[in-house]
Amino acid sequence: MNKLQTLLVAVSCAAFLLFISIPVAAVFLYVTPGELAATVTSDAVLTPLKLSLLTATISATVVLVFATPLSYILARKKFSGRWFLDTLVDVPIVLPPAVAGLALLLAFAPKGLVGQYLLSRGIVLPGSLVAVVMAEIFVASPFYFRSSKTAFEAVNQRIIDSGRILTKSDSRVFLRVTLPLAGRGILAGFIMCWARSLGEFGATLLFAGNLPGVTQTMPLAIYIAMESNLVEADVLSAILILFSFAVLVAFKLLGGWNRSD
Amino acid sequence: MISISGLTKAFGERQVIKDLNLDVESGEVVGLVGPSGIGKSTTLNIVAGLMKPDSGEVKIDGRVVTRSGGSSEVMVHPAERGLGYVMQDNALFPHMTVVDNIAFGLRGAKLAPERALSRAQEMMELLRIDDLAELRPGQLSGGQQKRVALARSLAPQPNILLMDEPLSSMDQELREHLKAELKGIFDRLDLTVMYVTHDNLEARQLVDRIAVFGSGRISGTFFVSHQPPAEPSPARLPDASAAPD
Repeated sequence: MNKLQTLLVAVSCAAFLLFISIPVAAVFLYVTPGELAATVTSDAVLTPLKLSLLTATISATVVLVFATPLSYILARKKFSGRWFLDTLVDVPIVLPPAVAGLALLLAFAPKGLVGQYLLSRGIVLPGSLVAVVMAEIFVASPFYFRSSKTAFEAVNQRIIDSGRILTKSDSRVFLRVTLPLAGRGILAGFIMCWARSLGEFGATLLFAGNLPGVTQTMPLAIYIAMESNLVEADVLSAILILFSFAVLVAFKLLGGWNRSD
Repeated sequence: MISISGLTKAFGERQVIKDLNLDVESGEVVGLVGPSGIGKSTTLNIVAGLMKPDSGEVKIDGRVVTRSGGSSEVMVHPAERGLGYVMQDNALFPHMTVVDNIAFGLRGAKLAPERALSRAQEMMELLRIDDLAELRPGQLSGGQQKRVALARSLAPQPNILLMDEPLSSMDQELREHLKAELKGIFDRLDLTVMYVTHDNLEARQLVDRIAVFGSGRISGTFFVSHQPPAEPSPARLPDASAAPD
């Protein structure tokens, strides 16, 4: 590589890194330490923060419990239509969040496909914490599927076979052999799902609404605070950036995307 | 006794096993010998119940454990065939210690934890790996891993042992050492063994009878005399005229 090529590569790398880091830095530089200390403990910040942490944790846990069997089946079983199911679980990752929110409304709102039956039993989902969790699960679950499926695929079939020779309990082989060997990828998927849930905005706004203390998560609170209190919005954004950074560090330490074992 | 009859298996267009028939008597050590990639391991996998043949039947001690290609299909679970299997790559559980690897099948058999542990201990002593109990497979040498795999397979006290190229990818000194140990274990435990190898000399030293594998079937079998050879000779498959039984 000659000097000109080296210079061009250096300039392109620097330009890209600056493009990413300048806005991030701007968030942290916007408020003074005094403003930060005063705002970070206010109800306006703490309430959506607690709600976001709660709903993201519930969402990621529900995904972990309910998506793991399907993820395992898609990774290790061969059956007709597998590619279709595999694509279906990925759909939310490419949907605009507004479309996801509208889809959830058409399905679960009181006049929706399923919602009308729920209404007849006195259940109304929009405007509830459950709706926030549902929106987060819908949007964030593909992140779990991708990581856990890759992890299950990476488990050596010979090791599973040697377990099957030793015990007739397939569930014991799954719980003691397959699951621990896929554990890092599963945990990485859980973390990414949690992080995506934490940042969920569009689908939550459309399906769950923006009710302070009930459905107003951090991204929604930032959106509202932009109109009235930019310091508040900035502090919330800084907290989200810190969480996101911590999550990505944890994800990389677990080997996500680079290593699936 | 293992009885294999009319076995066939294809992978896509490639017919790997074509009408394979073989009987292995109780307490007999039979070597499946032939070049790599011609279906020896596939045969073991079918006997173990890890793979379904396209057609044919496998019986263990008179009981049909695999039947395929007909109206009444049978596929007994691998763990209910009363066999142990030492795979070529050992396939140890990398996240478990040596003792947990060995005790896995015992705990799965609902053995009391103390009994499982004591049985695992016996196996480790038999294979002289008791000082490795708390190590994980990644911390062991190739020879130690093979011993752990053997101990794990033998711990549930199977009547039948399947071994797939157990001495491949080992240096000559270790191979000779393990051969002597394997021979001792086969004799002491009175096991029925199917031993897959591409090395004719290795088979001659370890097995009672060699089944020559070629073109997807057994082309002949002959008994091995365990007299020490007059002079070392390179591994070579027997002539077609070698006394087939």
